[in-house]
Amino acid sequence: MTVEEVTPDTYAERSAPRDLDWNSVYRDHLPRLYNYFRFRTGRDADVEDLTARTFEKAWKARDRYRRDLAGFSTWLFGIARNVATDHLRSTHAHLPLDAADEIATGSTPEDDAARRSDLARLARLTVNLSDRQRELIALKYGATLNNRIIARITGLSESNVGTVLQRTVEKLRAQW
Amino acid sequence: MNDDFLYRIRTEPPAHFASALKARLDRAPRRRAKAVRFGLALLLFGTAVAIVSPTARHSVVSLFADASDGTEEQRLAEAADEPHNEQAKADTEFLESATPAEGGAFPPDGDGLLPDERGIRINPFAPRAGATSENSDPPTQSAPAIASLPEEPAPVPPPPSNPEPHGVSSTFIVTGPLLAEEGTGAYAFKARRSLFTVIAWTMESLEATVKSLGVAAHENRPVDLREAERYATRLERLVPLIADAFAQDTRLSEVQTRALDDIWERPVGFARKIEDMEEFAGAARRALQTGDRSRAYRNVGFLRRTCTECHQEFRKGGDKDVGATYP
Repeated sequence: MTVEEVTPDTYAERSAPRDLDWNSVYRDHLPRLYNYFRFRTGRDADVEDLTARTFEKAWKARDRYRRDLAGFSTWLFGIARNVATDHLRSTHAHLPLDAADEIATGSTPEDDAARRSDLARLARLTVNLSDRQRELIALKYGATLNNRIIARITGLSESNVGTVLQRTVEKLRAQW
Repeated sequence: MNDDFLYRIRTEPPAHFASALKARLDRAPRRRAKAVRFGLALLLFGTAVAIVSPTARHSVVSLFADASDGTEEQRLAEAADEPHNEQAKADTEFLESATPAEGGAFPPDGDGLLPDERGIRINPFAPRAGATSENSDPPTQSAPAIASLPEEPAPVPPPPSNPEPHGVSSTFIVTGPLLAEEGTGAYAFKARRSLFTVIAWTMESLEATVKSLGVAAHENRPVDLREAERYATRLERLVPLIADAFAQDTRLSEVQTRALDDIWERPVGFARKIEDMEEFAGAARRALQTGDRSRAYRNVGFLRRTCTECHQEFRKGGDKDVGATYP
């Protein structure tokens, strides 16, 4: 494996909320959140906005984070999932008129560049996956969370997470 | 499991984005306690009333002029208990008559007048009891409820020779009913109406400013995004106060409003709409900070759409008769 998995023993998981070094938390989780949204939306547009939105919500509510209720990653990505869900719902339902042309033609300069990238390839391959499968892929490979934390975030059992991920990855690899 | 091809898709966030976001987070305040936020709403409402009411403005001036008379606590306590001169009594009667009633505006009706439950339309700028005969006829034309000043304002009677009770008690007549009514449906309605009026003003200003930026850019004129950023920032701060304004369930109060039952029966849905508006306002602010006009325009559109959806879901009459009451 080329990228280390997040284990529960990261700095944030071990510390009480008032002891947390939020600078370290930010450094540790920014890349994970950023890539989670890249994988989840399948494109680079709006990723910065979604990442910023999630962090701003978490920062405002950090006094309410309770160590006994959930690990920090579980808490933070719970917020991120809601942000992603709202974004995906709103971009489908609420598009201003000036975006209508892009939808109609399906092609912008950004889309042309993205199409050539691996991210775009993944987005095309995951179109036919279920929402749950896309979510698990994003949490596993975008956020680099382990199966145990993913299970806590999604409410699935750890074995179920492993099974779904294995089947999904095999399917994607066959089509890659 | 050979999954390296998926890990290869990951990338590092841009350095300028990471540092800019961190700087913003370091500046962001923690979420205010509810009491503080609602205190801000009360201050907002009191300020709005003070701005538009000639009595309140005069009273504030008199208050500062009479600062040496007695202790503040004693004067306020006396004024709250009983108005003890004719001016204060007249002020009380005027404000009590302006209580919104059935079908009351939420926010105000398009013509800016407040219907009362007896079918008599109350114009906040109509002369009060005690006004001179020259100004005893109320305006026959409808006037905006809050934003405008009449061309010839009703004359305010000069302060009596003993200014102490008048100056302070008149001030408290303005704020006293707010405090005296606290907890009632009328109080909640007034607070909501003021808040939505300010939100509507700010929203319309933001939309107009963002559109003008597009026009200027199209004409190759330099653009200044700061004004639009200020409006977006204000909206981002104002919108969360909506939750506080509706914390009180007014369905069983004496005030009939356009608030639908779903506000209190589907609190999660209502709260979600408020959060969405706050997020879109924040996204517009961030976009304007970084000079991304197209993203700002898009998020202002999302914000307007969310406002409309909220009206349709939680307000009788939906999106009809919504907007700031400009002169």
